[in-house]
Amino acid sequence: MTVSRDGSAAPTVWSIEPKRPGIIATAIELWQYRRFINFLGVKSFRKLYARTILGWSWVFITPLFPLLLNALVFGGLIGLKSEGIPYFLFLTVGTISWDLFANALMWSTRGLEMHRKVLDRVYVPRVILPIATTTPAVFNFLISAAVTVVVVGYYWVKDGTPYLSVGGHTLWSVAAIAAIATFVLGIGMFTSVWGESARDTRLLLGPVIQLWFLATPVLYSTSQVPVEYQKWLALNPMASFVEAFKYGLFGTNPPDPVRFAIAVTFAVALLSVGLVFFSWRSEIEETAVA
Amino acid sequence: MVRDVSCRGRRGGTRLTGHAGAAAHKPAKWVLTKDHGLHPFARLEEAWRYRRLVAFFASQAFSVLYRRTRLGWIWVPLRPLIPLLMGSLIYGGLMNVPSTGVPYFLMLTVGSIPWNCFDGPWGWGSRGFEMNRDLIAKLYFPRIILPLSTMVPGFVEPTVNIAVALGAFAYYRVHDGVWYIDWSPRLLFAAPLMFVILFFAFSLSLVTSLYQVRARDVRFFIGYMLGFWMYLTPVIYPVTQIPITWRWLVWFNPMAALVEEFKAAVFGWARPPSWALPLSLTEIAIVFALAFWHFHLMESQTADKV
Repeated sequence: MTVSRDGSAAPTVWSIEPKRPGIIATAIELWQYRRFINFLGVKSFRKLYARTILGWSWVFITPLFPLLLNALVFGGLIGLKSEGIPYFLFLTVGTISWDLFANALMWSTRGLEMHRKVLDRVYVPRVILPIATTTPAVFNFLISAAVTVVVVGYYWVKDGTPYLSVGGHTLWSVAAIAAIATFVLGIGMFTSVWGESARDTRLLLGPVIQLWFLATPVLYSTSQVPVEYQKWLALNPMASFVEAFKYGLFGTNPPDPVRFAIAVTFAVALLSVGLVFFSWRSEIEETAVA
Repeated sequence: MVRDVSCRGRRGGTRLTGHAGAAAHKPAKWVLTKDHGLHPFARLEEAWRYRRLVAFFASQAFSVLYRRTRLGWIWVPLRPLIPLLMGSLIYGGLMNVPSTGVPYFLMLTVGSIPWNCFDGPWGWGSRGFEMNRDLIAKLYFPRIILPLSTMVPGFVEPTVNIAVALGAFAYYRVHDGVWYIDWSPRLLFAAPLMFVILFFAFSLSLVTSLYQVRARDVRFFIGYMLGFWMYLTPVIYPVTQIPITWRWLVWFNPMAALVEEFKAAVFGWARPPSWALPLSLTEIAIVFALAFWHFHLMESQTADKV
């Protein structure tokens, strides 16, 4: 149901109409309820590091700890190469784009499950939940970006070169972020629906993300992958996005534009199909409740 | 039958303990005694009287395990398989970590048995107070039972690992024609090692469970800590990978000697130096003594604050 208010001078008229179907109507509704994203974002934030001693310091520890461990194991012990860039910096830049994907996916999967109670009490377009719950992931991304700036600063002082090159090609990074967001929401449309009814989704998603991480050039660069396996990377849209993100910042190893375009098309298609799937399932849920 | 009614002040003050007579027809006789203070044996004896609670809390913890999942119990054997398969793919397949003449999957599975006796039970045991917050606030029972009994769901993973290891041994017997397992009386040595590790996990949970109820950090911290600790322990690699000049340092990690002794007992490898195991046992004994003492002092204070 949509409740809208017409007129300002005249006595307020509330008109109650049935919800309009269709993707465009949903999009308009989503925009009308945009403040809810804010509300949910703040709410999930408060919960994030509540009842901890270190409190907000965790915001920095959470991305840094795995980063240090990976740098130690894969850069130090195993000695993976990183195209003339210090391995730690190479890993940091790759990791922030990957973490945006992995965290946002985990959060959006829990969107419906976590806020089920909200749905019982007030009307909000259901689709807003998997979108709004990704806020902590976006915030984490910004924090990690700040950490990256510090890392860059360190190498700048130490080696006299920032290693980063910012210019026209940096647009690739921006495009990559947008593509990752589209892709995550596309997957989230499915996983949040499944995650609401079965906790298995979340249990399964953990290992899947870990495997996916290894199949994506974060720890290593594409050029290190044997040529006969490189074509398989085309099957993994995240590989193109992470490559593009790294290229935008380092200016080395440009991604294959065709593969990138295919990946973006796939992400957009997935999001569209996901939205249709989501609204189909929400209609079932809403009629079941009513 | 003995029934206890207690009210305790902060820091183990005087406790009123009432003993109700068993005979129902006679009016119950309540004897008020002084708290046994800081006597550890009295505490253990008390815990023993309440032993039936272990089963209760353990089943409580179990019920959380795969609640609200479609597959339910199928997850029990499935979930421990995932790290084994992924580990052998990453470390054995991609990174070619050597495994001294044994298939890598076998080495990883056998190494994971003692390691999972440590990480799962420690993590679960730490949740003891947290999971039973409401109950602690309402009634008294020896709280040492909490970390002990919530450890139980952590036994699932090593058990599944043992089954997987046996299956893998059988598979390689058929496939390679060799029993990689060393059938000798030394194999029996593996069982007490697992108990020692569980005991170590319990000792650590005594401390962590107290703090986890107040600070969620503890849980995150344990997670990160275990991530590092596993790399310091010869689980995914054989200890021979560490240069001989530095190898003596490894044995100061109490888990290293236990895990390596376990693997040596199963595969019939050379044992770690003779001083390594006594050293790690001593360390564990010290940790337990300190943890038990600390738990003893803090238990009622923590219970008041939840």
